[in-house]
Amino acid sequence: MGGLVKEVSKDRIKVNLHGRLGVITVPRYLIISDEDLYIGHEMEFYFSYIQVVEDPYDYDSSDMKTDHEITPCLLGGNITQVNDTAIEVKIMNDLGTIAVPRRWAFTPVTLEEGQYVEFYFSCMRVIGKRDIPA
Amino acid sequence: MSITQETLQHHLKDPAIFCCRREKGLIISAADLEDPGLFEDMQEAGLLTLSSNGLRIEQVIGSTLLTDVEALTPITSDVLDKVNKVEESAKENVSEALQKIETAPEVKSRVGGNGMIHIEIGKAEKFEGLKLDVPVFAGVAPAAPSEVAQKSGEKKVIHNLVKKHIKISDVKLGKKTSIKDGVITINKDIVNSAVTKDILCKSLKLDIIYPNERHLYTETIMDVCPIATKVQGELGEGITKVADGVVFMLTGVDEDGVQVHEFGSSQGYLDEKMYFGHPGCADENDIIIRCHAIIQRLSGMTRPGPFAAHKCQDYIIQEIRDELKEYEGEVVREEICEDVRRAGNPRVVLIKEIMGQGAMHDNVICPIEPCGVLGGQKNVDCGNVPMILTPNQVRDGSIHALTCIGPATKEMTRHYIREPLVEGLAADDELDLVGVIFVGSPQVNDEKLWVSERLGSMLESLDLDGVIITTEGFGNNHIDFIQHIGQAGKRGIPVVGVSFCAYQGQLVVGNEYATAMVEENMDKGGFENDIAGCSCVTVEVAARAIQMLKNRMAGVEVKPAEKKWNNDVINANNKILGLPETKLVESGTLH
Repeated sequence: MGGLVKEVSKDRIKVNLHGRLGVITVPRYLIISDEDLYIGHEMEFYFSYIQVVEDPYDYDSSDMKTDHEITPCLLGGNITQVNDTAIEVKIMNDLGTIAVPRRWAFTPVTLEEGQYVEFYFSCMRVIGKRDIPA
Repeated sequence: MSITQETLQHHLKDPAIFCCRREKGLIISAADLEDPGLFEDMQEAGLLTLSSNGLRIEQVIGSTLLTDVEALTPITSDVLDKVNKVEESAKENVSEALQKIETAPEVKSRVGGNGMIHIEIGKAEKFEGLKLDVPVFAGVAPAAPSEVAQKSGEKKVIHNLVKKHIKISDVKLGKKTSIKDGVITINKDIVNSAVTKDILCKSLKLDIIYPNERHLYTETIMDVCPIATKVQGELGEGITKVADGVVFMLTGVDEDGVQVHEFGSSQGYLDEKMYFGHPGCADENDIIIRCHAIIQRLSGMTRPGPFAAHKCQDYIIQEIRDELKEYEGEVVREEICEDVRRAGNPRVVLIKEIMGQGAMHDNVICPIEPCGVLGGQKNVDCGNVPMILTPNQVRDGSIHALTCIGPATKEMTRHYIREPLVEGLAADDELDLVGVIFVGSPQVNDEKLWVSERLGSMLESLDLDGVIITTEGFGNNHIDFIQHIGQAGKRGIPVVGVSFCAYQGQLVVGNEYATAMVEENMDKGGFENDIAGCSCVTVEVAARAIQMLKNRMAGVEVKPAEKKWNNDVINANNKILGLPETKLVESGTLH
C-alpha cells in the first residue's frame, strides 16, 4: 500500500492512502526514514482490509519496529466512528487511527462504534517525495 | 503440505517435490508431495528452487526412495529405483496455458475459430496484507466453434431510442441561460438559486475549462455528467438530445475545506487526474463545466451531504436541458438505439453490481431526465435489490452515479449512458440481450447473501443462457460479486465476471464458478490510482468479456493459467481479438 503524508505534527503524521482509500494517522516512531518528515513524502507499508470480529485474539504489536524491514503484523482495534461513508478505527496500543471507506470493512454484523476489528498493518517507510499544493 | 489423491490427479504433470523430509525406502504417494499450487509463492519466498532435472508427479508415484531427501527438494531420477514411463506429448499440455499466452495468434489459427479468451482470477484464501500474493489467474485458450454463430435470431424491435448529439462549440457564463449557434451561455447567477435547493449546500461556483487549459488545480472529482434531455417519450424510448462536446464535472469540499468523502489525496491538476476518453470521463476535446460545491461542515461523509452537491448541480443542468429541448442546432451524430428481441439466440443479461454501502456508495436510478437526479430512487433506499432495466433505458441515462470512492475504478454518470458492455451486447446479433440488471452491494455479509439470492431467483426466472457480471471497484463488494457468479453458476448459466482486481484488488473469496474473469486494471502497479476513470469497463474490456461469454456458452473449458496478475495475458487476448494494446499508466504505484 502507498500513501502521501498530508500532515506532520510533533509526534504524529497523517497519511492519505493512494486512490482515496483512506486516511491513516500514526506515531512518528513507526516511520522508517533517514530524513525529516514533510508533507508530500511518499510512504510504503502493508495494510489489509479490516475485518470486524466478535471474538478478538490477544494481538501482539511487538513486531511494529523500525529496526528491520517492514513486515505485516496482525493487529486489533476498535471502531470509534461509523458514518454513511466510512469507519474510523483506533489501533491497539495507541498506534494511531485509520479511517477507511465502508467497502474496506468486512463485517458479519451491522457496523457500530465499539466493535472489535483486526487487520494487517506495518511500519511505514519513506520512498520518495512529491511536490503537492499545501 | 501434502496433497490428496484428487489433487494429485489434477497435477500429474507438475513437478514432484517432497513436502517434508523423507527417508530411504519410502514408496512415494500423494501424501509425500507438496501442493503444486503453492510453488509460485514458495519460489518467490526463496523456499523452493525447481530443477530442470526434476521429475513430474506422474513419473514418481509408486517409486521407492533410495536415499534420504530433504523437504521442498525436487525429486530426480538418481534418488529413485525407477521412473514411470509417460507419454512425452503430455508434457506439452502442462505448460499449455503459458504457451498459449505467448503464442496467441498461433492458437487462434490452430483451432481455426474466432479466438477464445480465458482470464481466470482465482480466490484468495484470506487477505494476509495487501502485499502478499494471492492467486490471480489469467490465460488464453483456443476458441471452439460456437453454436451461437450458427443461430440467427429473428430481430424484433421493442423500443426505439434516437439520441441526437447536438454540436456545442463553446460555453460562456453570462446573464441568461441560452443556447445559440452552438454556444451555451449559462446564467452566472443561477448558482444563487441552485444553492437553495438543498440546505446542506452552502455555495456553488461555475467555471469553464477548455481542452487546452486543463493543467489547473482541481478539488476531488466527484462526478462527470453529460447534458442530455428528453424531447420525446420516456427514458429508453423516443428522442433524447445530448450536448456534444461539453460535460459537467462536479467537485466538492466542505466548509472546512475538507474534500467531500475525504479519503486520501485525489485533488490535483486536472490533466493528470482524469483518463480523458474513457467512458466515464470527459473526452479529449470536451469543454468541461466545473461545478464546485461547498457543503455544510462535517456533512461530507453523510448520505445527504454529497447528494446535496449532486442535486444542486442537477438544478443548473436542468436549466440548460430546458434550453437544449428547444435548440435546433447542428446534429453531429444521430445514434439509433434499439431494444430488440432476437428469438432463438442465446438469452443473456448484463448484471452490474453497483455500490450500496451508503453515502457516495449509492446511485440514483431512473430519474425523470437522462443522467438527472430528480424523480429517481436510490438503490440503497430500495434495499439494494436487483432491478432490471432495458438496454435502452441504460443508454438513455437511467443511472446517475453518486459515485464510489476510488477515482480509478468508480463508474461516473457518463459511464452508464455509454456503457461499452451494454453497447456491445446490444449490438451483437448473435445474442439476445434480455436486459441489464442493477444490483446494489450492501455492507453486511448477510445482506450481501440475501441480495444475491434474490438475484439468483431473477436469473432463474429469465431462463438465461449466459450472463456477464461486473462490479465497481473492489473491497467487500467482491464478496457479493462472487456470490452473484455462484448464483448463476449453480443454475447452470455460463457466467463471466468483470472487475478491477490486478494487484491491490485481488479477490478475497472465490467459488467453483468464478473461473472466467476479465481484468479492468490499467495501472502499472496494479493499484487503484488517483486518475478518475482509469480502470473501468472500456471498449476493449467489453469486447474481451463478450467473446469470453460466447466461448463459455459454447462449452469450452477454462484452464487456469498464471497465478498472478500479468498484463501480458490481457494484451495477448487483445491481440487475438484485434484490439489495441492495453497500455498501463505509470502512476507511481509499484509493488
